[in-house]
Amino acid sequence: MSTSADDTSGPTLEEMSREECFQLVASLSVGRVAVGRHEDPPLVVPVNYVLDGEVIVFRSDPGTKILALREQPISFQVDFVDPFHKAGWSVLVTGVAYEATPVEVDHLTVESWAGGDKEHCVRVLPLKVSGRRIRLPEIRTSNRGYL
Amino acid sequence: MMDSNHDEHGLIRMDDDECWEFLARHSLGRVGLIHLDNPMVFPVNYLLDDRSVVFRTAPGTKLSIAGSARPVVFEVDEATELFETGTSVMIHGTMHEVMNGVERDRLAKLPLHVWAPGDRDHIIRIEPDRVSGRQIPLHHHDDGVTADGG
Repeated sequence: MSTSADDTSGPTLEEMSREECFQLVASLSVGRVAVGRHEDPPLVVPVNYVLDGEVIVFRSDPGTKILALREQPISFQVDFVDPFHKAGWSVLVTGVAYEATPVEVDHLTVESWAGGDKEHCVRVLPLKVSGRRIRLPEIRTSNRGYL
Repeated sequence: MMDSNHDEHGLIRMDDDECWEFLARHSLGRVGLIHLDNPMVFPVNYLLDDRSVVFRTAPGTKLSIAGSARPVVFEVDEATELFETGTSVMIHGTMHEVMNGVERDRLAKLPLHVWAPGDRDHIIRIEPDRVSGRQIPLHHHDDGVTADGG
């Protein structure tokens, strides 16, 4: 990328609003759940998810992630990168998770590619949402043309 | 379906070499750490330096406060929507900033690309304690539908 002295229009890193964050989260279907375990580093697991308003819903086997969820804070992360343009975004949702009752997920189609006995759905209520995006400079064109 | 090659959920366990080979083929990973009691996940562009992970970060970020040795996880995944399959590899290890000048100079010459703008001149290394990987087998779904329509 050009770094000439008058070129101040390189990519910028910008914070996104909560609304923008959820618009982007809604555009994908695979994210990562991170569950804290006291002093240890978190467990990070990719999940298929759907968005129900601002609530993130994913399936889980009984006895695995769910057990850890009950007492620990949870984060949900999703990102998208465009390697060609070297652009992208990342959203991190920190919240509270609980096992959904059937009536709370009846209206949703929650996939799980991993299969198994994933009859439990987990809902993550967002408390804090943050997201950043690498914004590319607009392509400037000369009105004189090149030819 | 639980044997030495599958975990209790029927996912294929990858051996260490398969995990490192997977990590070498990718360049975007996520660092997971606990910050103020909350688990946090950050995407980073990384490279392997032998069997450790290196990436750049900016001063003042949560990643740059690596200190001498901070326990972290590093996760790389790949999802293939068409076949509804995916792979996830996770390293448990410790993260520290590379302070040694000779080491820094050597790593700085590697094609360690950073897409985000700003001075990202801190080089961080994650030394693995263990690596593990899981893969969703094809045709894993127990819904009675198979490739031949049976």
